[in-house]
Amino acid sequence: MRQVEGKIYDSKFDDLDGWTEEEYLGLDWTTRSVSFLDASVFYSSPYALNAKIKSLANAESQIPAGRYLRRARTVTIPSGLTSVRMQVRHRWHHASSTMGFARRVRLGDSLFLDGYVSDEQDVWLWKNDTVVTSEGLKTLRVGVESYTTVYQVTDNTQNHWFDDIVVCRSGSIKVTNLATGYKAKLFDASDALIAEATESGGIATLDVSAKTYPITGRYKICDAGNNLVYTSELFSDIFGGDELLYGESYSISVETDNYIINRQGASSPTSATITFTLKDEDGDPAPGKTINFTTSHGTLSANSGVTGDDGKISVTLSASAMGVAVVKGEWPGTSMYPRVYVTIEVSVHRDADSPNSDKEYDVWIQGRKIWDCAVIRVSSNPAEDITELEIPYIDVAVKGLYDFAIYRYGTKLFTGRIEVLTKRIAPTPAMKLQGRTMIQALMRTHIESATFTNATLKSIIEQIHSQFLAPFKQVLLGTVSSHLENISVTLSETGQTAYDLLSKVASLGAATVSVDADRKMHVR
Amino acid sequence: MEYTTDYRGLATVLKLRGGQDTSGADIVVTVSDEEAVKTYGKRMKPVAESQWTSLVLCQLRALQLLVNYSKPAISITLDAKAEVLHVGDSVQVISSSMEVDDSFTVQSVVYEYGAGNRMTVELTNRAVTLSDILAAIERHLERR
Repeated sequence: MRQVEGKIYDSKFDDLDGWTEEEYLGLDWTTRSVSFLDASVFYSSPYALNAKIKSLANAESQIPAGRYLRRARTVTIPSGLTSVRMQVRHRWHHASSTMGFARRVRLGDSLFLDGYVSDEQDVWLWKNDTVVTSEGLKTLRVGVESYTTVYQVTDNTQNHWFDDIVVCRSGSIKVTNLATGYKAKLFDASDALIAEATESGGIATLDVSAKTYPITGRYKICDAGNNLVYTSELFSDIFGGDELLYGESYSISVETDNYIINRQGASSPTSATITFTLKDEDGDPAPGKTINFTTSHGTLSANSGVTGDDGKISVTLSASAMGVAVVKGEWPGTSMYPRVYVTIEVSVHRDADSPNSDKEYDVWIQGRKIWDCAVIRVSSNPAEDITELEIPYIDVAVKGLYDFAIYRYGTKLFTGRIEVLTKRIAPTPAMKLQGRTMIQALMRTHIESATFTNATLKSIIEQIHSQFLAPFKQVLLGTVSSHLENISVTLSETGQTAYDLLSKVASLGAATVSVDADRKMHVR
Repeated sequence: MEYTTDYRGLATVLKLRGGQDTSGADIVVTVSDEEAVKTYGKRMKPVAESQWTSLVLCQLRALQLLVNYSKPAISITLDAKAEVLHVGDSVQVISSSMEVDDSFTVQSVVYEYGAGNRMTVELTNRAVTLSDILAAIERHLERR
C-alpha cells in the first residue's frame, strides 16, 4: 500500500484551472502576445500551453531583459522537503527572426528550465531535474522571459510550447518493511522491468529518476531466493517519491463448536456457533471491524457483526433441513487493505444415526437410513479409506458431499463423505456412491512452505493444525500421542499437502494420522 | 444412461505458478470463483505450468483452469443409435428423471459392429482439449 504520495502537482495543460496570466512586455507588445491552450501543437493530446510573442508595427521599438509572458499558480511543497524533482516538455518556433526570449519554468525562487533560442526548433525537448526548494506555498511559473534587449520587427512571431509538467517529491520510490534479502521490482504494463532494488535496512529504493511520470506499472516483491511473493494491481499514477509499505494483509480465520448439526438427534445440537477472528497485518487482533456473514443453507442469527477487542465475532447457524451449509465471513477491506474472507462447511443431518445391531450392514447418509444396499465395498490403506455403495433405486434426497456411515451389527465400520455419485436409469434404476474419510480434508489443504527448528513432533503437529488446518477448519485437533513429545527435529518443507506433511512428521515417531467421524484428527 | 457427478477435483480458488518473468522472478497468480466459493467453500488447488512467462497469460490460463474445476465434473455415458457424432461436439441432454437439462461435450464415442450396431457416447461438462481428442482417437484405434 502507498503510504506517501510522490506527486505534488502535475498538469498536461488540457485546462488552465488555477493558472493566472502574468504579462509584462512593452507598449503594444501585449496586443498580440498571449498565453493560451494550443490545439495545433501539443505533446499530449489535446492541448499544450503556448506563450506566443508577436511584435506589431506600432510596438515599442525595444524592450529590455527581464520582461515576461507566463502563467502562474501556487503549489504546496510538503514539509521536510528541501528539493523536488520536476519534469516538463517544451519546444519553440520563430518566424521570421529570433527574439531574445527564453522558455523558463520557476518554482518559487528556483529556476528549473532556462531554454534559450540556441535549442533545436520544432522538436519536443524534455527537462527532468531536481530543484532546490523548501516547504510551504510556492509559485510555479511557466512561460517566457526576455534575457536580452528585444527589438521590434513588424509581425515577428515566436511560439513557446509547454506540456506535461510534473512536480514530485524525488526521483526514487521507496518500498519499506521488507525482510532481509527481499527485492522490490517495478514493471510496466507489458511486464517489462522498469527498476529493481534489494532492500537495505528493510527499505528498497527504486531509481526512477530517468522515467517520465506518471508511470503505469505494477510492483512485485521477491524473497531472498528471487521467488515472487507479491504482485500488485496495475497502477497508472506512480510518481517519484512514492513510498510503499509492504506487508501482509489482514487475515481471517474461522472455527465452530459443531461441524454437524443434529448429529446426536433432531434436537441436539440444532445450531452451530461460528466464530470468525480478524487479525491485522502484524498478526494482532483487529477490533471494531465489521464482518459480513452469508450461508448457502439454513439461517444465520445476523447478517454482520463487529469484532471485539480480541478480533472475534460469532454468529449462529440454525438449520433443520438436511444439507451442507457453507458459511462465509468477509471483511470488505479498505482502500489500503484488500478484502479477506473465509468459509466453513457445516453438515446438517436429518437426525442421529440409529444403526440396527441385528443387521449385518446398515447404511446412513446425512442421518437418514438407506433401506437397501446391493453392494458395499470398503477398501482401506494407510493414506485413505474408500468405500463404494450400490443402491438398487434412485434416492433423490442423496446428494454429493453428504456424510455417510456404514455400520456392521451396530458397530461403525466407515464414515466419510460422498465424492462421486452415479445415477443409472437402465436397465434398472440404481445409484452408486463413492466416498472417502475426512482425511481428504487434509489432502486438499496445500502448504506452500513450513519450517520448524528443533521442535518436538507433537508441537510440530499442533502447529500444522493451528497454522494450516484451523484457518479452514475442516478438522479439530484430537489426540496427539504423548510419546511424540520426546523427539525433536528440524524440518523445512515446501509444496506439500497437510496430510503429506503430517504423515511425514508422524512417521518419524512411528505414528499414523487419522480423522474420526467427529472430524477430530488423531496422530497416534 | 449413467449420470456421474464427481466432486473429487473440485476447486474454487486456483493458484497457478507459471514460469519466470523478464527479471527472473517466478510468476504466481491466484484466482477464485465467487459463486463456487458460496456453494462449496474455499477449496484451493495449486497448479504449476512453467510455459507461462507473462503475468497476463498466466492470469488467463488460471481463469481457464478454474472454469473447469469450480464445478463438479459431470460425465454421462449412454447408448445411442449410430449417428454421426465426433469427439468435441456439443450435445444437449434433457432428462426429467435425472433432472438434467444442459449442454455437454462428447468426450468419447465407441462403436460396436456386428449383430446390431451399437454406439456408446461419453459426455462431459469439462473442456475437451486437443490432447483429449488425440487420446480418444488412439483408444478408438486400439480397440479396432
